[in-house]
Amino acid sequence: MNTPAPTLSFDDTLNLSLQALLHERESLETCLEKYPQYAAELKPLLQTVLLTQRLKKPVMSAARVDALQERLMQAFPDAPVQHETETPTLPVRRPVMIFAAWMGRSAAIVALILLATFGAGGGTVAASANSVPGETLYTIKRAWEDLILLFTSLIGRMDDMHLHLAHVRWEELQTLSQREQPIPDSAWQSFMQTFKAAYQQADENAQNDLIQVLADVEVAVNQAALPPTYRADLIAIVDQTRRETTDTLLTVQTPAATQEAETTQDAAAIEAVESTEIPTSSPVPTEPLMIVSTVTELVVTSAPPTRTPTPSRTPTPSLTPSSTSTPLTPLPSPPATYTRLPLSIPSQVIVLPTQTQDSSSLVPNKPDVPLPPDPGSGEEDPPLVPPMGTFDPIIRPTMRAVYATQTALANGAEQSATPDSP
Amino acid sequence: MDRVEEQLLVAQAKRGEREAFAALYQAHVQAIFRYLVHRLNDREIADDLTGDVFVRAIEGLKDYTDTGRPFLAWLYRIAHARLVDHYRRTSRRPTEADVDDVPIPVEMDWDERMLRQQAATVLRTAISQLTDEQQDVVILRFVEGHRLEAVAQLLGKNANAIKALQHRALKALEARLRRTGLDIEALLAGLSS
Repeated sequence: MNTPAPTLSFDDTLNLSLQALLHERESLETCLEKYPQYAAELKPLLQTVLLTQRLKKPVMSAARVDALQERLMQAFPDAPVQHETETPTLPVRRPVMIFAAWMGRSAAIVALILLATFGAGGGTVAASANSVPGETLYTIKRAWEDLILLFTSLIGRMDDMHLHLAHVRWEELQTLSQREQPIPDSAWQSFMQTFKAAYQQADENAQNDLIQVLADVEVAVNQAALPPTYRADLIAIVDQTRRETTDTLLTVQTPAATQEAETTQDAAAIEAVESTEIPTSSPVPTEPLMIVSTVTELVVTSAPPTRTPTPSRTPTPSLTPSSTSTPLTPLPSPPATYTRLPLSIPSQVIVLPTQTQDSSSLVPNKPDVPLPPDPGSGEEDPPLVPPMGTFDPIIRPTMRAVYATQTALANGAEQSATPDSP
Repeated sequence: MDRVEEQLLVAQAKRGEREAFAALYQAHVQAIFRYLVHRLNDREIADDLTGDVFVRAIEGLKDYTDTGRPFLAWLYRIAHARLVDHYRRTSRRPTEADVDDVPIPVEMDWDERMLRQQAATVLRTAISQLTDEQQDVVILRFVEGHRLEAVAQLLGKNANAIKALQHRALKALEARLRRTGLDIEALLAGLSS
């Protein structure tokens, strides 16, 4: 832009000049030539910027960073530990807040249509509004949604509707989880499809909202609420989401980039005589955190051998390691998120009972203590998608620790309470 | 660290996963430290306050809500509150006299090392004389090198407000430097030669 617009204010001119000077590496003279009418006023300001830019950037020493981190980790409250008898459920999203967030940006007309129909006594349709997969009325609910989708496409607000439906699908999963009902494959498939559709059409705010949903789903993954097949699909979605969002969201300077810039600027810093500290040598990895973590878990935790894959499931390429019917690997490797960080947390190091141990000797006749499914027990096969509380193979390490500790304690207590025990 | 990764880490940290918080800490500790050093002109105090900022972050994490702004913006807000608290406790902010007391090497035949040192001292002191908002925009925009939109997000303002703010900040800073007798043009020429 060599000729400035006649109405360009000085603030805008200054900002354009700063942009050229700081980020496009143009010279001061070139910037001033672009805006001759403002050159006299611009020059001292741009010179001041050039001087300020050369201030040396202080760096906290690596030793100090690590020491402070250690102190902070001690101050960090322990994660809330789930009781062994507690049924892991999907995290509850507050429907009112979801709706409010959605309403904030959605076409009011779509909301009114839904509200008027469901809320104003739409007969069977209204009755089906709270139905979940597996119920008779659910078919009506989905058919009505298809109709609304068709109508929405005519008024051009598909993004709002898909976002809404993604939340609806997620709430249905939560409802099933809270009722301790198995989640059918079709429900997961619907969630995945709706989520993809919603994300593809969402704007930045809606994407943030969906990312929060993903974070909740990630909790479900860790709580073993998600069947392995869909876990792999979810990983793919998260990965794709991360990449796409990186392209669209505002670029904020990363620590690595900052350090690189520091290196360049420090060479010419006007404080060259000041003492220089060694920069921290632990840049934060830029690879996606959760994806690495969950993939790692997928490789080491396989489904119990008693589970029979149904033909209706469509295997995903990334699922290959977990879809094998190898015996249950007793100890899943720690998530990759732990290994990425320089500080190891001793409290997380837990010795767990393995499959080679005699689990019956650990917990003799304790019906109230749930045991992991025994592959060779000959009992009735668990359902393909079992209720939340019984899906043990991918159980979280903290829960394993609680289980191990409490069963050992229970065993000890029982032994001491029994007079004729050896 | 991109936004999605950051949001996932924040969600994990809120659930009590300390490794996630450690990753957030590693990502942002240097930015917070630099900000505090530039605002305080004192590494020791900046070091202490950096620790305070992250302790407060741990304490406030349970109430943290993602409003679409970077997590760093929240940390900057905590850091700013710590600064205000520090000034309140010490009842000491840099004054005009601090700038006037610094001897200014106006002749270019001074030793270059001393010239740089002095110029840096004058510049830092002059920055510390600006208003809070002006200091923030100078540090984030020109020292840290963030783009206008990023500064707007970090400070929770719109882009036009930052445009106006950076204009006022630069005018004030340039005027203060001129009053001290610092010849910016000559200094820049000397530094680049």
